[in-house]
Amino acid sequence: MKCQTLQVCAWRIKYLITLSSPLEAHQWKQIEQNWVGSRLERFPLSIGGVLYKLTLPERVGTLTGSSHSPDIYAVLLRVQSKSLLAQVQDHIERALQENL
Amino acid sequence: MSVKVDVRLEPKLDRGALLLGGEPHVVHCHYYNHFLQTSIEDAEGIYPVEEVLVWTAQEIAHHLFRQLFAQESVSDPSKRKALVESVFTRCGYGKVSLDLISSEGGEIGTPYEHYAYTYAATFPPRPSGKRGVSYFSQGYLAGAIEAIYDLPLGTIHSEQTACLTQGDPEVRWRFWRSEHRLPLTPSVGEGNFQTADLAQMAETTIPMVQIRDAVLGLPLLPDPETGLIEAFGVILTFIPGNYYALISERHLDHMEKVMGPDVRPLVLDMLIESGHVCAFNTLGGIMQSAEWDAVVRPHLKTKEDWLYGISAVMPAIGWGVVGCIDTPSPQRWQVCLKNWYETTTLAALPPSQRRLDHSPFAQGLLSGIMALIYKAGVSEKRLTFDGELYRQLFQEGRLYDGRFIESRLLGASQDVVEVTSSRQ
Repeated sequence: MKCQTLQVCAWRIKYLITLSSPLEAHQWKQIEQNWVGSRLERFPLSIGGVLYKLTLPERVGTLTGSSHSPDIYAVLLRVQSKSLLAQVQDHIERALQENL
Repeated sequence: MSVKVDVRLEPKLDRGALLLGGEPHVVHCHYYNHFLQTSIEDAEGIYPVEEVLVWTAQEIAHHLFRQLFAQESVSDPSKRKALVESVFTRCGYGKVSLDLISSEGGEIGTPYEHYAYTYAATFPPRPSGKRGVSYFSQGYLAGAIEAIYDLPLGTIHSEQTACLTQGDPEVRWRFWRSEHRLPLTPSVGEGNFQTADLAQMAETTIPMVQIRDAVLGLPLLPDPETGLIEAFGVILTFIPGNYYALISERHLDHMEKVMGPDVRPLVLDMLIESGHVCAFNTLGGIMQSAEWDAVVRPHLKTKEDWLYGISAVMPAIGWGVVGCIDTPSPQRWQVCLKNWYETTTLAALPPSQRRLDHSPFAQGLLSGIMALIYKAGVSEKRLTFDGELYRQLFQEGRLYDGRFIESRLLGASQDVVEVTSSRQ
């Protein structure tokens, strides 16, 4: 799992998390279930495939990704970004492992 | 008021426009919104900037809601209020309740308003002498109140009395009815629009129409609790394009009247820079997003493909139809703009009443896109937009210049912009 900073402002930081393959629907669901208070939305795309958006609890950030790409974008509150990023990576890791 | 009303921005595919209440709406992000507003606000010691930033929104909202109420056959004030609240949220301006509003005015307060919320989160607190930042919503709600009670344009006066940017827990505005009518001008509505197909150019295999339609299908929707639209890593709004075009035009007009013609290049450069900043933040954000990865990136092979790809996105966000005139290169990109939103607004004004003869926003935007692709290398690597990148790239000035070689505002049938490298 690779991680890169894409955008930094006083308020939030946008990270790119690159996996080896796109997360599958049940893995997104798994993250939502494991992360108490998060909310997953699923949007079918006109070109086929699905866009996923996971809103983290208490508006601390969002994760977006799609069935087309192994890249996940995490926009996180800057003041908590380090701990939030660690939690995001941990939840993704768990979802990947629980579905092996 | 918690009545749920369905509000839909209607895509006009043959214009590259998104219509609501007879007003074309365009997508922009909080970086651009603040850059443009702050640039105008900086002139507050020179002329009363509220007359531009508040009154323009009031004119547009008055027209928009009169149209919308007529279209939906809504005459009951409580139902009209519910529609205003729904539109306010659908367009990403935040959440408001008009419960305490009557035909005499009243107060509206909210912890969620686009300009104040994003400013407070991003910038240091404003000095105590400054007013709040929610000019647009202030005017917009004033115009909406007039429409709700069938009042003539200019009868509702307003002020912002609290702001998140000054440490208040909410944004608050006061509205009151006055016999003294403000000297406002009715909105130009759909403007002097033109139609154009999004052409599939022979030079590229990028499926322009497919990309446009896929972007139109993206869920650019507000958070139900805050009314703010979070997408592409930025906070978006659907604000009427007439607002951006007219505040730019009126700012230039005021500045030239007070300072004389020498100020013109400075104001134009500021408007160009706002487009340049927009390229890096709104469009740069789009180009590094899950939405772009899913819908556009799979088709992109060359740098030029990125130009075609982002051109296909523009009609889906209401900016007009953008076509490449010939094959772009790192040195030169020539584009025709059909129904470019700023032009469409300004072309509806009598020539004697406008000072802009082209869209400086487009000049800056297209120059910024070229720099993003050919100099910053967004097509080759992931970029970190942290302010430092922008400073590094442009510390000696912009790397591309955009020049209108044809302008509808000077009588041509379309806008044609040539962007060339400003350094060898």
